[in-house]
Amino acid sequence: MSRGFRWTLGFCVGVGAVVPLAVIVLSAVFSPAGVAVGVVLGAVYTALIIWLLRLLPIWPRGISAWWVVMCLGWGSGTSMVAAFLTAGPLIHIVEYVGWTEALASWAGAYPEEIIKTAGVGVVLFSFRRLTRPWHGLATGALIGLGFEVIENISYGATLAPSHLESDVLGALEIWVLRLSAGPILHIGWTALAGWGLGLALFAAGRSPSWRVTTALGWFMVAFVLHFGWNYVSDNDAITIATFFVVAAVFYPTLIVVTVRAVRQARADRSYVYTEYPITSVKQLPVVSIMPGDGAVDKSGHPVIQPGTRHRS
Amino acid sequence: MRTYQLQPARSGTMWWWLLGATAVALFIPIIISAFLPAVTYEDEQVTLGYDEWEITLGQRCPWVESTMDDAWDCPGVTIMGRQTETTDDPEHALFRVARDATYAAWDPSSTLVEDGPGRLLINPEYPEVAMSFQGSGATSGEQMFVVLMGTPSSMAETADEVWQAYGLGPLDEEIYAEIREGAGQDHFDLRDFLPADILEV
Repeated sequence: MSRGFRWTLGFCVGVGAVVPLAVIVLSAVFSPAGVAVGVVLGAVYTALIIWLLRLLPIWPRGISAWWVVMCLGWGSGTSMVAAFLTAGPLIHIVEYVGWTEALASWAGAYPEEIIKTAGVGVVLFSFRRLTRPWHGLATGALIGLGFEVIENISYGATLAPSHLESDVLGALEIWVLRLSAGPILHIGWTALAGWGLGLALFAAGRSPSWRVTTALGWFMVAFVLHFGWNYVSDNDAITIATFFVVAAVFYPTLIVVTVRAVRQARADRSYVYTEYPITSVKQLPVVSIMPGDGAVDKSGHPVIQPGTRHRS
Repeated sequence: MRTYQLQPARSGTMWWWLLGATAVALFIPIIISAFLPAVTYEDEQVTLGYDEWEITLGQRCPWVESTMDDAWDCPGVTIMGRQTETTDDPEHALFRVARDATYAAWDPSSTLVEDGPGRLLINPEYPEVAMSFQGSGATSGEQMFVVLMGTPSSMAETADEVWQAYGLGPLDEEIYAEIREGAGQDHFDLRDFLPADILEV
């Protein structure tokens, strides 16, 4: 845990918190019904994803609730600030170059994947309990969740008035479209980038060049997938083909990585945490941690109860 | 052999690398953009609708794509078109399309003109005119919306041209005059609240 990273995290999330509040308040001026639909669906979606993630052993044991709050805050606030600042100049550059088919790709993928991945790094260094590669995956998923929800609320409320019958139907249509045609996109992209960062930071016995290559490689996977998803060709066939190719690469990759992370988390016997701070040598266990030895929690992590001694 | 390692005890260098690289990556486009000239768009013939129902207006203007609304950016007036399937309540749909374009609140007593398949709505709060046309024959089951935003005189001329392009006659003179003099007359303008001597500077 680094105090510098922790101050950075607090500052960035604190400043960025203005964004989700502004999105909700400003959108409510235009379409109160659209915002209401978005806030309710966003809350349900957030709770559902967090609940699902908590079922997996990749969820850091004994982690503070602040970790969740900070991840969601970085995704929904800090990331949005960076996206707002950089998207306009990127659009200008892409239009100037004349590559308008990639307008949304550059304006979306470039600033968003950079700032979300940076957020994973800042969060990983801010919490002492984040010490394994799969913690990068989980952190990335939560940051992506924050981004995805505020983006859906924003799009839902802004586009709700374009429905010819009502704002409620308009907002619902946008939410259903975004959740069905490309579910968990931001969650998955940032999770993959976070997995790479987690490997780079927490895998032992690796060279510095391997760490840099791994972190950048997984970041590029997230970037290219996002870039491809946003690409709108003048030729509809190319747009649709790109859409299917990205989906065919993204979802299997996410599943493979998640399964691998879950297996590694289950197999990890070196991850130990105590229910209470150990303040006396009497609490120190004489323990040799071996697979199947001693008390373990639901995920197989050894749990040392204070005041008890485990002997091999 | 250990598989995992803890976070590095000293992370100052990492802090500079991570945040420095992020800041540089995000600021590069801002700096490049600042040195590029503004993008200009080529003029094209203004067309609205598609397939059987595409109409062409006399103006040539740039087609400006944005992330939210694509529009023809003509001198004095912005023209947006949208072709959809017909709905049960065309009048309600027209009010909604008009509101969608500006997010401006609409007075229910706004002037609404109905002439056969055409409807025209004048926004008294904002410089905006919205029109809708119900299809028939080959375009049966389709409806076309056209929204104009700009100066009253340009909107009046363009509304008249669009109205005729969709097979309706010239706009009624009273309606034409109302757009020319009335659309957006209640629009909030900061100049209305400033002392005259400031405006003269």
